Amino acid sequence: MKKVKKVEMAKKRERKLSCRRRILLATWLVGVAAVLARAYQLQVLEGDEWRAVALKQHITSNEVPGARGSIVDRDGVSLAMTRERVKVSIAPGELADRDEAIRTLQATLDLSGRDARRLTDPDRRWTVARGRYSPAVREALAGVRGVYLERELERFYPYGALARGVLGTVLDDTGLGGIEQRYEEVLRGMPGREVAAQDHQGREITGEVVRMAEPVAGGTVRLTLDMDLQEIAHQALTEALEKTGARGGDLLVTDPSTGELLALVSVMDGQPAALSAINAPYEPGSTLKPFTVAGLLSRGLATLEDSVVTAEGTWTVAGRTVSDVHVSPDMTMGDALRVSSNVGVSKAAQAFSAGQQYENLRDFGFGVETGVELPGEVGGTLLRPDRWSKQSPVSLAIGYEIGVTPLQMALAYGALANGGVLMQPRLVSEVSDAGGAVLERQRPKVVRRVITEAVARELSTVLEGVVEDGTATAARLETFRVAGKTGTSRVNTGGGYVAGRYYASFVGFFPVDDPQLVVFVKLDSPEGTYYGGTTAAPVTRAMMEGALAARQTTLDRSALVRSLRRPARMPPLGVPNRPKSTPVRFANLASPTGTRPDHGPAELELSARRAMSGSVAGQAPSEGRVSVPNVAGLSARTAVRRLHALGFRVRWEGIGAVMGTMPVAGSRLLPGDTIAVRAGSLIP
Amino acid sequence: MKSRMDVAPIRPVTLPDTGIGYGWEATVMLVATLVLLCFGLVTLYSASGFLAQSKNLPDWHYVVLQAGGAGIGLVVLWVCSRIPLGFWEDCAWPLLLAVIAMLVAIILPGTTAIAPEINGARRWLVMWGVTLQPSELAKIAIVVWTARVAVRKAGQFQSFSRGLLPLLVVWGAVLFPVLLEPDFSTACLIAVLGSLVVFAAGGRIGHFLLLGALMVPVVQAQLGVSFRANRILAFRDLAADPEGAGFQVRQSLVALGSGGPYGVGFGEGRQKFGFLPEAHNDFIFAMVGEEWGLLGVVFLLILYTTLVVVGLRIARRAPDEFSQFLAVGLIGIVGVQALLHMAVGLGLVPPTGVALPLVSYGRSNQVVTLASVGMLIAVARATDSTPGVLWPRWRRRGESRA
Repeated sequence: MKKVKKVEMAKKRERKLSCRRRILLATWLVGVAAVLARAYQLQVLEGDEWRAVALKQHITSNEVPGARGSIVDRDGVSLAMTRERVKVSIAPGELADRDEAIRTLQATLDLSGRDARRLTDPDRRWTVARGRYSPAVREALAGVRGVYLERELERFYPYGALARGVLGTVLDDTGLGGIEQRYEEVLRGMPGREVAAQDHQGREITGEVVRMAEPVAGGTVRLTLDMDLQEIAHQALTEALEKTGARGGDLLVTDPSTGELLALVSVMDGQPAALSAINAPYEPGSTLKPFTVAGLLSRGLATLEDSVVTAEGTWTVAGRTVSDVHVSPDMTMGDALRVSSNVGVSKAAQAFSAGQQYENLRDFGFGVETGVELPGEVGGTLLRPDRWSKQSPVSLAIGYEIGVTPLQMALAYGALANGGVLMQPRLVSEVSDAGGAVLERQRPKVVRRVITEAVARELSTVLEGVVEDGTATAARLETFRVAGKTGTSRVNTGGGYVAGRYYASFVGFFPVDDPQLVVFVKLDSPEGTYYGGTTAAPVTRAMMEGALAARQTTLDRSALVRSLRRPARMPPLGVPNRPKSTPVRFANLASPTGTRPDHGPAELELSARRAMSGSVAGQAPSEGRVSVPNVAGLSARTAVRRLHALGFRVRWEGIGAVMGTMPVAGSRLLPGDTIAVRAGSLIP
Repeated sequence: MKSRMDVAPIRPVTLPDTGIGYGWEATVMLVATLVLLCFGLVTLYSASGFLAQSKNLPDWHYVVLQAGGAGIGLVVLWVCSRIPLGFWEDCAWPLLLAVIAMLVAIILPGTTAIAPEINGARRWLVMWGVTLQPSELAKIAIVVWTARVAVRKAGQFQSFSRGLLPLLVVWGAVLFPVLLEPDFSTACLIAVLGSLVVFAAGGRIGHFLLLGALMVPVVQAQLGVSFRANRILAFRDLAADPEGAGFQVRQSLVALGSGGPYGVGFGEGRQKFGFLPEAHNDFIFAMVGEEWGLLGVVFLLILYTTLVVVGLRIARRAPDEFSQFLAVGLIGIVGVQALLHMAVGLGLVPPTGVALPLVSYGRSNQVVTLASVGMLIAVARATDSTPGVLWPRWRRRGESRA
């Protein structure tokens, strides 16, 4: 029985233990079921929500800018381009051989030993080389373990500050000012998108970048600017500023027949990137007089032969007194313009009704934006007649109470030069996409015919007289006939006229019989002599001479040949200008006293001209051969300046510092010959 | 040489109550273990690469260390599977005392030379170039010792004063040093493993209720601390967790949830990049869930369930009560840790640092787990009465099928 009981006991215990094991197994299975259910809930039922949470914290989506498009000049020379640079980062812990890496980095990136050691410091997780390198370093560094290369795009202006005002700049991948801003949409292209994995501190994880959309490179904007002319203009203006101590200035070169801007340089308070040519209106003074006269002529209100009494030398109307420096009894309209008589022109303008005078100036484009393809253009000020004072007709006739921009002035002179048609300015000739397909082509656009060809021709003749023996003889060229008008006006800063500050300006075009260039020059507050004829006119001549020596394409050379002066050359410098080549019309001046132009009354400039006459002279390109200077190692700008100064034409090859010329330095060539300048090295 | 009979005699395939035949338990155990071990190494590579690189180490650094641990562990497994079970019964006390000695040694004030403080805790014994975590060893020691006591004192086991109380005193000697390391989760785990053996040995349910009641305030206090710590952690990293508390668990849920049914793919997980804390260790299950999805979770569950079911089967068929209780305790080492680890990762229980056996990084844990499996195989072999069942279909050379 005892044995049976023992067996009973053992069986009972066995059942108990077995029951315990089953409970344990059941517990396990319950646990497994709980885990499974919870996992199912998280991963299947709530999966999308968790994925969204995860995505938000794992992934950073970045825009990849497309390579910004280029801006090129009329000949296709790059003025603004995007180049690829390489950013070099190093993970020192991954380097296989530090010493080897230091050697490679030093050799490739041109680093000092200390910098290379710092970059490979094993205590640091991640280092970035300071510079951005040419894509050439890829070859040496790609595949080196622990060295990471990243492509970066950099905006690059091969000509540096030259034409930067027109081009603008790029800040944070966005165009700021100039063409960069105006054509942002075209230049920027389509950004691509990439998605990068990031760790909990927001650092991108190397190698975990996925390109979602490829960026599309930006298009190309072709300007009408001619970089050779721009270079010459820049140089001419810079030199003028240095010489005259002026605060700033503008120099515009346009093609009167198309309205194309060939060069645009504005310097304001030492800022070479200013755009005062389009956004800073000024009171032009005498340079506006031709338009008053043109308006009178085209409306039949006067002829050039009409005589105006200017004997008093001053004339007071509505409380405003207009005066001439040099008093002459009376003169013809033509002479009044030629010698820039305030009294003569303002008296003649009395023939206008207020509406006619306003309409005339408005027709020449004053008071409205020209529509040039640059941001920030202003239209200037031209009040409507109902807001005029009694003085206004007089002031407007001689270029006061009106704000014009240099660009408006250059275009209005273009209308005088091209036979009476106001052209729309044209700075961009063509816009094409990255593949070269043209998206937009700008044709020259006529705004309106302002005056008849006959009137335009008459005025050209008078304005030629201004250069030949008027107030602007300093702009005279030996080889071609130049027409133009000087202006000296007081500076109004908004709070009234500033004592001792003047705008000296000269607008000219040449050759007179078939004008190809209009050159506008304005200097802000030159020190010392401030007359337009002595400060601005020589700049124009320098500009024109440079253009004649250097230009290859913009000027129509065969047309120029036709416009060359007769062999009967003008008297040499120093000798008072004789009206030998002035048109016959001027011989018939209805001038009772027979006043000779250079003794006649004139605006301020005439007296100054005499003072300066010793230094104003035509400098024809020297005839003999000139030896090519050695320009190797110089910057592009300096080299071109040297060669232009000697009368050579320059063909540019490459970018960057000059390597050499072809023909080589020392060769003797004739001015006007073309020299190929080879430049550049590593830069693509 | 008598005991070295490592070739199974050929016997007809019979279909006893299990249906498949003798000796397969050990095989299944071993295969499941090896599969888990390999899967663990692969997962660890993905999980620890970022961590290693952020410490300026090669990305395979932890995998190589772990693989070394696996090598040692497999040798230990083989040795354990060959040790007769009587050895453990005899060694229960010395083993426990040795473990207690080690545990006390590492928390003494003057022993930092052999027990350095790492991450604010002194859990490791560093001697003769070997790094050892005595609290891992304590898991086996407590199981062996409790199983032995349960057998020897089977008569007094139902009593509180003569059964439970002495047991608690000895457990306390193990638990207190572990708590002082401090390593709360391991202490809990050791207590749970001991209780598991007592439960399997038929301990009174009333005792368990009492034990549970005793544990409540302790657990509460500890959870308060750990949650506070979490809050501080989350506070420091506001950007990562604007909600404030439970940063780790939340990141674990993000990992699992974003894995979806099929996972984001091996090595494609993103949570390991600093989001998931201890991605290579305490939260490696979340990594698996992210990269392999529900599929990976099911895979792990199947493997661990296989181990647990086969382990319990080995226990049932054990030749004596000691080996039966031992087997339950040993399979508990694997099962309890696995379940707890997964529950933590899923946010079912408060976060504690429990390793996923055979997968998480940690060589002591790995070796101890493999040793447990080895001892289970030893139990299975003893049951089978067919020595050398590591590979049951072996035949002696020259012998032909009967």
